[in-house]
Amino acid sequence: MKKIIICCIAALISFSFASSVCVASDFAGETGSVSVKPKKEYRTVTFDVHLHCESCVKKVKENISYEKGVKALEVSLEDQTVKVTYDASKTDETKLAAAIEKLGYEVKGKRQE
Amino acid sequence: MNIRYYFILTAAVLFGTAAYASAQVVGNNGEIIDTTDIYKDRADSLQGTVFVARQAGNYLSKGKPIRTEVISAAGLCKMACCNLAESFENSASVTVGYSDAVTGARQIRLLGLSGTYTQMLDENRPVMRGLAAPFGLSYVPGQWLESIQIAKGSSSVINGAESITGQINLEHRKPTDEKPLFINAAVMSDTKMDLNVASSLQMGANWSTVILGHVSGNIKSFDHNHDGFLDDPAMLQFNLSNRWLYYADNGVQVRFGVRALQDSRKGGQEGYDRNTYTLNELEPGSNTYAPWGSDIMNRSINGYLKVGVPLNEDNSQNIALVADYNYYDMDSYFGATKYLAGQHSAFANLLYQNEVNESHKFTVGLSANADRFNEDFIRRVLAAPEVSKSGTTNLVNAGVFGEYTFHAGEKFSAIAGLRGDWYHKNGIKVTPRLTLKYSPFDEIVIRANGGRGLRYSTPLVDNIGVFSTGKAFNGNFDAHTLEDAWTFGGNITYYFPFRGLSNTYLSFDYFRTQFVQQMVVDYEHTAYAIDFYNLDGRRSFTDNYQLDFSIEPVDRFTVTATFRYTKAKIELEGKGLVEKPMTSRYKGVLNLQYATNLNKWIFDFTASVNGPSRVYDFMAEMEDDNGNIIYKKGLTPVYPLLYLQVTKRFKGVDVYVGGENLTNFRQKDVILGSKRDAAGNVVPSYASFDASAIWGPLMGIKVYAGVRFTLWKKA
Repeated sequence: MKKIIICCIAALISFSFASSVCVASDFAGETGSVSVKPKKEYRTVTFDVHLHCESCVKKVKENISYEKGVKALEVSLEDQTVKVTYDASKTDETKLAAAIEKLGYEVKGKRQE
Repeated sequence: MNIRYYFILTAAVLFGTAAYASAQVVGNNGEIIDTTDIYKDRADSLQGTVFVARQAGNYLSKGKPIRTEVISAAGLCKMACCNLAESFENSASVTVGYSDAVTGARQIRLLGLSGTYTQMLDENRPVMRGLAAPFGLSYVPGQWLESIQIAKGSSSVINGAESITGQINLEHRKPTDEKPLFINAAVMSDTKMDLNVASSLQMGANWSTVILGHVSGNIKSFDHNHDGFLDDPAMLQFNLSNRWLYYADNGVQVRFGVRALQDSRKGGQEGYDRNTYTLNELEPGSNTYAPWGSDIMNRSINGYLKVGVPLNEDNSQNIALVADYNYYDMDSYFGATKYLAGQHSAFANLLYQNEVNESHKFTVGLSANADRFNEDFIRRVLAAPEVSKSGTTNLVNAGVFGEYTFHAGEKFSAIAGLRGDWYHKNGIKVTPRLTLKYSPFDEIVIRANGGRGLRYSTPLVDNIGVFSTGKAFNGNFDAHTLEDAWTFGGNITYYFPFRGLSNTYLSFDYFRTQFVQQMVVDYEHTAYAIDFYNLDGRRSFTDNYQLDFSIEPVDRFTVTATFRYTKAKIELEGKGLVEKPMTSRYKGVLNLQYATNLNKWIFDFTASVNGPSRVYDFMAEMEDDNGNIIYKKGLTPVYPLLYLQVTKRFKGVDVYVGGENLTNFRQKDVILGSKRDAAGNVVPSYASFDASAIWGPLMGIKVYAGVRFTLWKKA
């Protein structure tokens, strides 16, 4: 019983640190006074995409997440939207729209945020 | 305290500290900037930029009237999950174990009872019945599945009356998945290798198909505990399935498919040859005897057809036909014993469904099930004269059923079902079932459930471990008793309004299963024999309590904890009411999963603690090499199991490495017997030989690595 408790505590500590580290890292670059890396220009665009089922949502998530420069992704079946936060130095809206259309989904419009 | 655990704890703290330190932010003057409050007031932004709606691995379904645990695709990827049995390793509802130390057969327990009392469904077609039951869990590759639903208690009457403790429904990869190619290859440190291939192809607007292939086997078998028996049998499995979907423009759906399987496994002592094995006593002073073992070849073919026809435009009325045919052939040899059997099974279900309005729905139908067993069985052991049985047994049942569903909005629903079946050996039996779900507030769900279950027993294959003994079989081991039980229970789940997410809950459930008739397999009544007899008025019941908790305290970090307590009692001949042997009293599971942004790295950790079981009487006085009693108070020890997996995801490719049973816990003294050779190994030809008393893991620590490749369909 002692073994299991120690291993669980160890795992909880590891996961807790790792998760708080990754969240902090995500936002470290956004504070003006930090000089870890040069400030990246992140932009967000919302595409209106014709999605017809949960499989489409999964397909978009599993593919667009790995496009160069993508930092965050939200796909909404209800709103028929794909919202992408991306590194403007690595990609742009045209390339992202083309990647979505390559999967077989029509991009009907877009909104810059 | 063991130095190993200090090391693990220290490593964890160091890992965490290193990760934290590497992300520490350094200001322009070299000072460390405190970043802990960077996101303090930015919870909305956090939510907005996080990969939303990640599918939880294991979760309780909120919407279903019956208490249902879902293992999603994400859950199936948490561990090696090479086959269905391993997919349940991180579920506390379902306990997985080995039937014996020889054949590699896995068995599950739900609500403290054998998996034979759980109805297995393949997209609502009954599967893994009869001869397929002992090894069926190994014949469903985990990578073929999209999800698994575990419904506890008395389930729907639509699929028959065979579910006593619940139903486990398997959802396979669909023909409509836009994945023309999926490949998974994995290798384990015990040389077991798996290769899975799946291809979903859409051919036009109406037709689609999925082809599923699987090959697995091990190159070498080991005897790590040096007891003279292989830890795992030498195995080789080929499995191929092809499923089709036709979706007509008028809404008619036709699904059909075929599957072929071949599985061979040779276990026991190295060198066993069923053709030359002779059953002899060990000559005094001699150390030579024919090696004992098992040699099993399973083959199966299956075909099915499902047709759904809408009778009106909105599909509120429809009829459906489900037909399934399966042939299973099992050639098995255990020492000088042989069990050769073939089973033809046919199932048909015709349903009419009418959704009258939002509140009322009913389903009526006819169903039939027929099994034809051809058996050739010879039991040759030193403990008793030869016993043989060969012939054909037909088990048929047919019936009518009706199920009524009532919804009062989102707050209340009730499902009442009734079946009347004619069993050709037992006459007419009525099976009522009732499920109630009440949600007074959005955060609380209360369920109650009860009903009857009936199934024909197949004593020898239901308890295949009996073949891995030198004991005589007494009683009605060749009878097909109609087992009859009632299960009642309920569940209450509270969903916490935490961080605006819907996956934080605390759930408690209780179920009781009480047998009216049961095939009892008694290892304790007669020395060196296994007695098979009917319950016939004696008591047999199981009380099962379970607590589940799930929370996502920070984004992409989920914690689930489950604790199950089981009290299983049975009245054995000559012993009175006793605790059921080899049934663990409790199990606790803790699962932690963390995924980085966009799921590019996924870390999974599962820890389980497995409670004690009462051992058989003949094990209670066993001593170790130092003369100490192994099973103090006649109970097995509490033991832990740890699993860890790290997955790195790329576009279309997942690479994963992991470890199972990281504390290397293994059940010692797996091979029991009083007669030993000069090397100290148990001689299996004697009556005291027993390799079926398994309560813990047979294999120690295992590490594995694998890759999953997915090709998505492009425009």
